[in-house]
Amino acid sequence: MTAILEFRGATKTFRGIPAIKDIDFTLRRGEIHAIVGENGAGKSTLMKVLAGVYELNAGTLTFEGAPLVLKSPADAIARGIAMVFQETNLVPSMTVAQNIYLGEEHLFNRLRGLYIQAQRFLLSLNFYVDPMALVSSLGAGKKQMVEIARAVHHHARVLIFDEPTAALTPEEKFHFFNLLRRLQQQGLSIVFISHALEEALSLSDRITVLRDGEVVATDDTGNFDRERLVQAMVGRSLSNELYGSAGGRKIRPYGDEIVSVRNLSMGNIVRNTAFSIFGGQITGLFGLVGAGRTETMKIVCGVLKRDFFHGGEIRFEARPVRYRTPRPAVLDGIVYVTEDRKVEGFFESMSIAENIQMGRVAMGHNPLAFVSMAEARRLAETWTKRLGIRAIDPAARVIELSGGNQQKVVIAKSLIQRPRLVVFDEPTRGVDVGAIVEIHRFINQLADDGIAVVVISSYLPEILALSDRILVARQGRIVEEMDIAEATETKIMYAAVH
Amino acid sequence: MIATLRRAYAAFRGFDDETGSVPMMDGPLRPNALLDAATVALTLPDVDNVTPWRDGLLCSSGTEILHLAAASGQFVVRERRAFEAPVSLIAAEPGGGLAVGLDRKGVVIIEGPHAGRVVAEASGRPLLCCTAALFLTPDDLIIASGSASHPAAEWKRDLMERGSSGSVWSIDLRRPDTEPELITDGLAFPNGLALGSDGRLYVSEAWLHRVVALERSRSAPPKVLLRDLPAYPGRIAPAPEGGFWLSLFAPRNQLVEFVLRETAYRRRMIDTIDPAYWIAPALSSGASFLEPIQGGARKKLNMLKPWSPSWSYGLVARCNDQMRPIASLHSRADGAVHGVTACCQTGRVLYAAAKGSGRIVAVDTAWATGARGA
Repeated sequence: MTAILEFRGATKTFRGIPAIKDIDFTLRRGEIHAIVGENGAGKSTLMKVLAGVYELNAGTLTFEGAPLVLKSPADAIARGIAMVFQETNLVPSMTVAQNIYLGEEHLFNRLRGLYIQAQRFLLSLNFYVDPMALVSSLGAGKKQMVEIARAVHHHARVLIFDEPTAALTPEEKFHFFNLLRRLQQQGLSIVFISHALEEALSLSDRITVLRDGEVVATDDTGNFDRERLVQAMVGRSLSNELYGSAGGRKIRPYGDEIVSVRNLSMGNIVRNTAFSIFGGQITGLFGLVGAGRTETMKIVCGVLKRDFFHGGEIRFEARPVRYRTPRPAVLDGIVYVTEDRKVEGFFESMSIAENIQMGRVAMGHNPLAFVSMAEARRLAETWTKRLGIRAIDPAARVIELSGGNQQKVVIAKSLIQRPRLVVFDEPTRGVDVGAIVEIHRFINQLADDGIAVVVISSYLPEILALSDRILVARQGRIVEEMDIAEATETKIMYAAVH
Repeated sequence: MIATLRRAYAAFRGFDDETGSVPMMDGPLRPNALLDAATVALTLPDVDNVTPWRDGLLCSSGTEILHLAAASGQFVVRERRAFEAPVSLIAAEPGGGLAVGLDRKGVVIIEGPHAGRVVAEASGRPLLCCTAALFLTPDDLIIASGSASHPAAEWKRDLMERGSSGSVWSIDLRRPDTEPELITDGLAFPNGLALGSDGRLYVSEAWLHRVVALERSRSAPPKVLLRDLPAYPGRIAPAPEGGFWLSLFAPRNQLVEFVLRETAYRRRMIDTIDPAYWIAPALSSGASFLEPIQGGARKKLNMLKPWSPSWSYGLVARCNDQMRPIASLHSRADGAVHGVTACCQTGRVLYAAAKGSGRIVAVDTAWATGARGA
């Protein structure tokens, strides 16, 4: 296969610090090329250069045999290079068809014609999405389809996906992989960035591993296995630290009953569910997307409200509680570490210190809202050290940090509130393997300190590696409880599906 | 404002009250079938008050107490002794003291240095409902009186009348003329007694689904050790390795909780219906079609669903020395070891007396020592 594009000696620096340096990278025509690496390894920077978001400081990019300098994303799209970001760039208040043809509007537009055209186009791609549906009403998988359709509509020859499967259900992932293969057969070259190593191994033709802004390995996928990939990514073997089985570790005993949930209901999403959470141990909460796991725990944490009538009962430390906002829950010692950190987890334009300080402000200890920035910085230093948050500049905005470090900031912001119950919702989504180990170690530490910890995760190895006790949710209810000693992936999945 | 509106609506509808729910059995109380899988050591109607005694066990059945001796895995009755009233408690003391409680008659010491002593009254009131007793020393006896108005056999009536006239008494047996001394009263059916490692008395308070710790001096209020149990706690037995075995004799039920809040309905039910068919917990159930059931979905293909709501259940909880449950043995709705009123451990074997099902089962406790926190 011939190369469709090539980087030679590509270097991009921010404030004089290189995010990628001297990278040689080749994308062949019609191949699926996976790029893996820890957060902060430079994957997204490299791809953003390719998508025209950043310009290189040094090095060259060759596209179809000719040198290419991309000045803007529009420039890249015009050349046939499209990027599908982690967070889709669709306009939620517009319909699917309007999003696909966005920017091509005429003075007078005939919507019916637009919908017919979009329907034909979507069907030609085997995408079963209603062109008249509002994007805000679509699930993550369908949004991704619309984004891809938009890219294909712009005659993309190179498609770049940044963490395409992070928000997809297992079923959506299956369809998505089939779609990538179909696009590959049509001659498109695909680059995808993923933290799910199994996906990279099963889907791609070649894999490039980046570490600290440099390429450490590029090879055919057949020559990689999980162990070699992890070793290349982090420079050490993590096989014993990451997703080790429960067999070798001590299972924590039941502590005091911290939360007792009885007959909890919220519309059709949480339906008459009941369970308990005990102190000093990690309760894993597994379920497929739509099982109501997140909503159930959000009700416990005061983020969502249970039904006004017949909504059931929640007892926190034997006391009935009905939180209408998160603040009283925080004051009682309940914190929720969100799964959607970019929307709910932090203030992206604020620094690490300011974000951590916001956790403190939420506790309302300072009614005059007087914030000492010196104290905030001291606090940030403590937590940065404790959680191993790595930033190029301590004053950097959180949005500039890698996913793993962003997640650590969100965790620090929550833990500063000295909780007695911590709910981690997908704590390692979009986080690299190195940071996963650190976050897991920290979650274990919390449980060892006697705090009740709930980990919601869609990733079974994570549930099995962390939990002392597993609850399985299905259709808005907790349907199964398992001791970690008896739990297997098959049993958990069976309970989640049947 | 919102809370007021909600309460007003709840009062109007008569439910959606936050006190109406029942805690679920999960965590250390997660259902299993260990009681059903246990060896049946003895079948005896109304078996109760199983207690280690010399080289065997004592238990009661109606108005009799029986001394049981092990023989090739089963028990044989070595000796029987009949009393004038149903036996409501047995308390043994390693030095040889033995106290027996009789319904409506009080407590009689039948063995040991104080044999023949009868404690029939306390502070001028008859001890109608002696539910549990504990020898602190050969000369100091603690007695739990479940109710001031009903005998132990009428526990269901006491629950349905929302009784809270239980009390705990201490008596110095050395002085024949001394009156029992009140430790505390106003308890909702105290039904089990144990001595904690901290020197306090642990008392199960059945109708409040909890276990409290009492100082032996009257001044200190009870401190709750364990609350919100999903079943009514009964007798407490010490485990040789430390901690306790807590028998829970009947399950809590949302319908019963509802009926307990409906005074007029409850009054009529008590006045007009045979207690066996009340909407109330029971030691055994399923024997009569006249029993109130809770919907046809309890059975499928004529098999009772083990998770279906039932009036009776079998449950023994293994608790640590702070009375926190760490493991449990169950006989679910479809099981055959219901209404466990007492249990005791000798050696490595736990004996559970299921009064509802009329059997004593023996369980090897090795599983519990491997349980978390044990």
